[in-house]
Amino acid sequence: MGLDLDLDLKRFRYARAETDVLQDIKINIRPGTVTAISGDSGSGKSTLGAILGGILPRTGLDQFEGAITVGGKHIAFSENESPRIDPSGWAQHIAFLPQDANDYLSGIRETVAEEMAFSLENRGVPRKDILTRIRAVADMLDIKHLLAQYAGTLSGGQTRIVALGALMVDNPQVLVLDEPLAGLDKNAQNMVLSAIQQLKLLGKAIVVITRNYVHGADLVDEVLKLEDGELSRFERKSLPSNQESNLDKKPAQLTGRNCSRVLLEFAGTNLGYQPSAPQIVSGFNLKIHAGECVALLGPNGIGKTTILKAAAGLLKPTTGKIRTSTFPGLLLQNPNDQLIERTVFKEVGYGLRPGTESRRQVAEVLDRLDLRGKAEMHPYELSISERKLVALASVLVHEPEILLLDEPTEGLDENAIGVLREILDVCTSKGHGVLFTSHDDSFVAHAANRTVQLNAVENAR
Amino acid sequence: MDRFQRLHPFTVLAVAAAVVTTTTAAGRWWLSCTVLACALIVAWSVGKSVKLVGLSSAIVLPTFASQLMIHGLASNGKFGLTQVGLQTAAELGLRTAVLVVVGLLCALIVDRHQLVAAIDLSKAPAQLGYLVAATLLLIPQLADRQRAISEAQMLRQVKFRRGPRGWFQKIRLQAVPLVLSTLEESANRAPHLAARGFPAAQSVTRLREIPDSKAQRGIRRVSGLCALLLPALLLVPNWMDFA
Amino acid sequence: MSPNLLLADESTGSKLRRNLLAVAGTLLLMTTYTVLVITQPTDLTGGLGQGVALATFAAYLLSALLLLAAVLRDLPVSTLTLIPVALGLNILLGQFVGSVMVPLYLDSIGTVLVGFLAGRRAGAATGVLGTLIWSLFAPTVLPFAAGAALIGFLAGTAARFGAVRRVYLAPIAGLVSGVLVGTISAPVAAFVFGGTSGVGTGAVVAAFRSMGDSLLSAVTKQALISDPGDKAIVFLIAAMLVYALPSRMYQSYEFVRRYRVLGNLSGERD
Repeated sequence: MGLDLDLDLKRFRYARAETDVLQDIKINIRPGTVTAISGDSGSGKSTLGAILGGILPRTGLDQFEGAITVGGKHIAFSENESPRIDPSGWAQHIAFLPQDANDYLSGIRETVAEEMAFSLENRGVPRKDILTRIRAVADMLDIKHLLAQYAGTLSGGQTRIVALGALMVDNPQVLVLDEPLAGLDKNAQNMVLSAIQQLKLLGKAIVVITRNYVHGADLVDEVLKLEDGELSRFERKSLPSNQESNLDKKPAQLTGRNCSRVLLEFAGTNLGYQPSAPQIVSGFNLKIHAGECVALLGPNGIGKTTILKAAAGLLKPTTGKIRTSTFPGLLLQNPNDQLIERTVFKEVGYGLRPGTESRRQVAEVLDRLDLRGKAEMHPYELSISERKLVALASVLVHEPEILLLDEPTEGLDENAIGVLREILDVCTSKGHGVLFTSHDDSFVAHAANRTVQLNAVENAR
Repeated sequence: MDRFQRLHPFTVLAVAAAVVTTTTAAGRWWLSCTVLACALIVAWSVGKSVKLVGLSSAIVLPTFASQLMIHGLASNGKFGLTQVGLQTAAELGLRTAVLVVVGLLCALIVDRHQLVAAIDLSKAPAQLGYLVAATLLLIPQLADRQRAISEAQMLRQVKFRRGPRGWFQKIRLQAVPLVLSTLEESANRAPHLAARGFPAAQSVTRLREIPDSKAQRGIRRVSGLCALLLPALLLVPNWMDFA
Repeated sequence: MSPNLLLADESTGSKLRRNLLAVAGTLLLMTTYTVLVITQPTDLTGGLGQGVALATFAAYLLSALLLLAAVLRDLPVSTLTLIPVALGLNILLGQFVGSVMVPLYLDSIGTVLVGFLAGRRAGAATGVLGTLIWSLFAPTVLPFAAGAALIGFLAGTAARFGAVRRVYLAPIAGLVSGVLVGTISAPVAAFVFGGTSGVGTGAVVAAFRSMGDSLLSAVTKQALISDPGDKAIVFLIAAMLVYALPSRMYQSYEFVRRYRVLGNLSGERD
C-alpha cells in the first residue's frame, strides 16, 4: 500500500481576489513520512492543505494552474481545463482534517461511534464491516471509552481525536491535518501526536500544517516553510531546536506594587448558573493589583471562563464577593459572537459617541493592533486571527482599567501574538490590570507575571 | 428505556395516521374522546402525560377559542350564540385536538435519532435524513449560540434607542452575528460532508439498529391501508346522499 | 478499492422526472384550491365536511411533498447545509423578533433568506422541510407546508428579478408574496380546522362572518390583512441580513452570482 502524492502548483487564486495566494510550489509526499508545512496565517498554508485535500479549487470559482499526481494518476489543472474533483472519492485516498474539527464532524449523530461511521454509512459499507473498522481505529487512537459517549459533549481535544478517527475509518493513504495541535491542552496534544506517530508507522503519509512546528518536532521528517503568501517562496530548513526549553518566566515587572491599588478582587466567591445546582467554581480568591498581568490556568471545563464572565458582571456570584474598581473589558474566546458591522472601522467604533474624537480613538487602536490596512474590510473577510484582534480593538477602544481575556492566543498567528504581548505590556505599564486564561505555555511564560492554577480537587463539582 | 423504543418509528407514525384519519372521518364525539383518553393513557404510561397536556393545550386552546368565535358567536351575517354554532365549534375543536394530541404523542415517544435512522434506511432521498437530523440538533445549539451572542453584546454596553429604531438595533445585534457565524459554519462544513460521501449516491447503511419485526411490518401495512380505506368507507355513503 | 478521484460529467437523465413531480405538485395544489373555491362546501362537521377536511389536508400535504421530492436531489451540498441553519433561524429569530414586537408571526425569515441566497427551488424545499419538522412540535402546521413552499419559491423568484438589489423593493416583493400565500393557505384554515390558530385572528374572521361573509372569504380576508404585512417585514429583515454578509460569503452562492441578486453591490466590492 502507500500512495505517492506530488503537487506541482503554478499558481492559485481565490475567486474575485486580485492576487495569487500561492505560486510555484512543488511538494512530493511519500508514504511513511511526516511533512510539516509551516508559515504565518495569511501565508497560504491552509489553502495549500485544502488543495492537497481536494477541497480546493472550487469549480467555476477559483483559478488553479498546475498538476496533482496521485499514485501515478496525473491530473492537470489549467485555465481551460478544470477537472471536477469527486470529493468523496478523493477523501478515500487523501483525507483533509480542517483546523476546526467541528467542521469535519457531521454533528448529527448521537454517539461517537455513529459519528465515526458516517462516511462508511454513506458509502453503503455493511454494518458488520463498519463495526470492525471503527473498533480497529478506536483501538489505535485509544478512544474505545469514547465510542458510546454522546457526540455533542466532547471536549476540544476529544473532538479533534474523534474527527481524526472519523477520517481514518476511510483508510486514506495520505492525511492532511491543518493545525492539529492548536488550542489543545498538553494531554490532548500528546494524544494527537501519538496518533500521528502510529499512522507514520503504518506507512501513511502525513502532512501537518502548522504555524509553529515546535511541538512534536522529532516526528517530522521534513519541514517546508511557506513565507509571504504572494511570493510563496519554498525553502527547506533543517529542523529547528525545540524552542520551548529556553523560555523563562517574565520577571514580575512591578515587584514593589504588590501592595498597590487592588483593581479586581474575588473573595470566597462561588459561581454557578443556579444557586441550587452544583457550583462551577467555589471558594475562589484572587486579587489583581494595578500593573499586574495574571494568568488563570487549569484544565478544560474547570470554570476559567466562568470566572472571567463573573468579573465582567455577566454572572452574579451565588455567594462571596467580586469587587471591581471600574467596569472591566472582556474579550471572549469566539470573536464571531459580536461582529455586526460591515467594516472593521465601524465595528470597533460601535457604540461610541459619533464624532472626530471617537474616530481618532478608533484609528489609534487599529494602529496599535496593526489593523490600519484592514479598516475598510468586512470583519468576516479577515482571518480568525485578525477577527480576534478586531474584537480586542473593540474592547480596548473603551480603555478599560481591567482587561479580561479568555484564551486570547487561540487562533492567533505569530505576528498577532507579538502584537497582543505588546498591548499587555502597555496596559500593565499604564497601571492597568490584566487577567487572562490560556493553554499556551510559552505565551503565559512571556506575558504573565503571576499565574493562578485552578485544579479539579479544589473545585470538584 | 420505555417499551416504545422497541417499536420502529414508522410503525408508530403509521398507526397514528390511521387513527387520526379514521377518527376524523367518523366524526363521532365519543370516538374522538376515546382516542384522546387512550393517547393520554399511553403518554402517562411513559411518564410524559404532563408534557403532552401542556404542549397540546398550547396549540388546541387558541385554535378552539378561534373556532368558538367564528362559529359559536358569528355566522352568516348574524352575531350571537347559537346552539348549532356551538356544536360546530365543539366538533371542530375535537377534530383539531385529535390531530394535535396524537401527533404530539408520536413526537414524544419516537426517539429522534431512531426516526432519522429509519428515514435514512427507507427509500426517501438521502438528503432528507440529514436535513431532519441537522435541524433537530441545530435548534438547541443555535439557542446556546444566541445566549453567547447576547452576552457578547451586553459587554458592549450599548444604549438602545427607543421606538422602532431601538427595536431594529436590538434585532441587528442579535441576528447579524447569528446569521454570519452560522452561514460561515454551514459553508465550512459543506465540503467536508461531501468528502464523507454525503449525499450518498446509492442506498446507505446505518450502524444504528432499528428494532423491526415481521409483525411490525404487517401492522405498518395494515395501518397504511386503514388510513386510506376506512375514511373512504365511512364517507362514501355520505357522498352518495349528497350526489 | 480504488474510488474515483474525479467526477463524471453531469447527467441530465432524471431531470424530466423531477420536472414532472414539480408540475404534478403544483397542479394538485391549484386544482384543490380551485375546486374548494368553486364548490365552497358549507357543511363543516357533517360527513361531507369530514371528507373535505381530510381531502384538503391530504392534497395540500401531498403537493408539498411532491414539490420537495422534485427539488431535493438537485440541491448542492452547500445548500443542504444552509437549510437546517435557515430552519433554526425561522424558529429562533421568529421567537426573538416576535417577543419584541407582538402581532406578527415572522416565522419565515430563514426560508426567505435561503430563497434570496440559493434560489427558489432551495427556498421551496426549505419551506416544506421547515413545516415537516415544525409539525413534530405543532401537528396543525402540516397542511400549511404548501404555503411555506410558496414563500420560499416566491422569495427566490423575487431575488432573481432584482428585488434584493434595492432595499425598498424587498418589502414590496414581500407584500405581493404575502397576498399569494395568504390566499392559497386560507382553505386549509377554513376547511381543515374551521378557524385560525390564534384568538386575535379568530376575532377578525368572526367579525367578517358576522357581516355575512362565507367562511372561506372571511378567512381569506383575514389572511389578506395579516399576511402581506408580515411577509413585507420578513422580506425586509432577510434583505438586511443579506446586506450584512461579506461579499466573499454571498458570492459563494451560485444563484447570487448568476442572477446578480445583489446587483451592483455584487460587483463593486472587490
